[in-house]
Amino acid sequence: MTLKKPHLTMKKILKHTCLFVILGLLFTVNSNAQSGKKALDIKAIKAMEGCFNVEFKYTETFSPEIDYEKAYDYTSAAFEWAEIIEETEDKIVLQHLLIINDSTIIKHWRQDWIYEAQRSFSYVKDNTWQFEKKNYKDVEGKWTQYVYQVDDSPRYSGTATWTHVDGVSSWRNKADSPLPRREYSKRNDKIIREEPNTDQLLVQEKGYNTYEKRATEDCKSAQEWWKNNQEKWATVRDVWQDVLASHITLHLEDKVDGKKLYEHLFYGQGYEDKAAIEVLIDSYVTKHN
Amino acid sequence: MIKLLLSLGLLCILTWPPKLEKKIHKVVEDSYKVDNYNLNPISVDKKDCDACKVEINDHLFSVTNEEGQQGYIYVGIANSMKNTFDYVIAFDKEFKIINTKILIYREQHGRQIGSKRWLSQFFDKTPSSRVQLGENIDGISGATISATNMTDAVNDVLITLDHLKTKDAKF
Repeated sequence: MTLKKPHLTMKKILKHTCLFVILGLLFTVNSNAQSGKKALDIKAIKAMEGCFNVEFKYTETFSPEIDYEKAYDYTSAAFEWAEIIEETEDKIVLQHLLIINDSTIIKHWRQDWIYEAQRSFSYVKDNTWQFEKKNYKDVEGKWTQYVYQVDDSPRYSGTATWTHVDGVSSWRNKADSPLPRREYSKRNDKIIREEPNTDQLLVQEKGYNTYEKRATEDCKSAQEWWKNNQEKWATVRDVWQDVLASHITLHLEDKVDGKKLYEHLFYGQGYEDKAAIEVLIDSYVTKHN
Repeated sequence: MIKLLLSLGLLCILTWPPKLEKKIHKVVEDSYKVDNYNLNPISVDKKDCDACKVEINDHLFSVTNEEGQQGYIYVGIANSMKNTFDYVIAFDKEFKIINTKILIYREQHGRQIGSKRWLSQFFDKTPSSRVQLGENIDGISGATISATNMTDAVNDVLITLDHLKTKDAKF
């Protein structure tokens, strides 16, 4: 008999990669100068502010399929400024900016830390996020980290307790996440095969990111850039806050008019006022009850 | 000259499980850089295969496309420590090995034999070559049984093809 090539539907994006978020901040905590556990937590979060050399290293580890061919290790480095752009008693917002060639600045990811937050979002699949309300007893004394993408759309969130032991502060959580941009740009085969009603894990990956602090003045260009652009991005955050406030399952289009949302926001014209940004973001958003 | 029945794609019905079939097709596509192709089973009369070390019927296939013959694949089963595994060997038109893959492995012990680095030791071997673990094929710590059995399986396929070649078989 003659066998034909089988029909393969293989264009779904991996979503079951469990992103192991480990924030192990190696800095000395002087507990004598602090009062109370929450103060130590805040100090640990705020220690993420600064000018850093960042290294990213990723390697594929285990695959359930013996014939899976692992990709080459991914390594990259960046020069990054992280700035606290909002701080209240129970909330700290850190904006990360990439510095390319000492002068070109790219808005990077953002992390919001909220104390005893009962609301959280999680990535489901296919650019879809769902929302959850936890009981107070489940979040008591804990911090939720909300991670947002470069266009300030949601990425993932997680809730855990900060620990401060032997001079090391750490916060550990596990969350599903969309593929990082490096996977879209470098790989087109890290996908799951679509079986009837199931998604199949192809491979696990471990990442090792290091942040090495450098002099704050090395990041002057990024600090200047943020001063000049923070108003626009505050508006973008406001719009997203309105979108997310409904806590209804959210789907985001990958592209509108052939472009990703960040391309419109970074390089598009006319997105200075709230009304225009609202129209733009709404064009990507679909909500499902 | 022995009689070889070349199936015309009409007589034989292959019953590979869907998962195995997908993996076989991926190996064919990767090995021969083809999108559209036919796998034609090759059949040999048992009396002409008296010295064959492995089954040929339903295991050996020619790969053809609109440009003609591209090569051959052999799909077989070998033993791991407590179970069996499926493997495929891809040959060029002259029966030189151009690819080998473990397709489905059914236990946790010995999975290292799926390593491309290890399997690539079989590349370029021809029916006149012989392979033996510890001699021209490196062993794998912790996967001795599976590595031995895969090496023996490849060796048996090579011996069988060599045998058919000496009988002037034409595929």
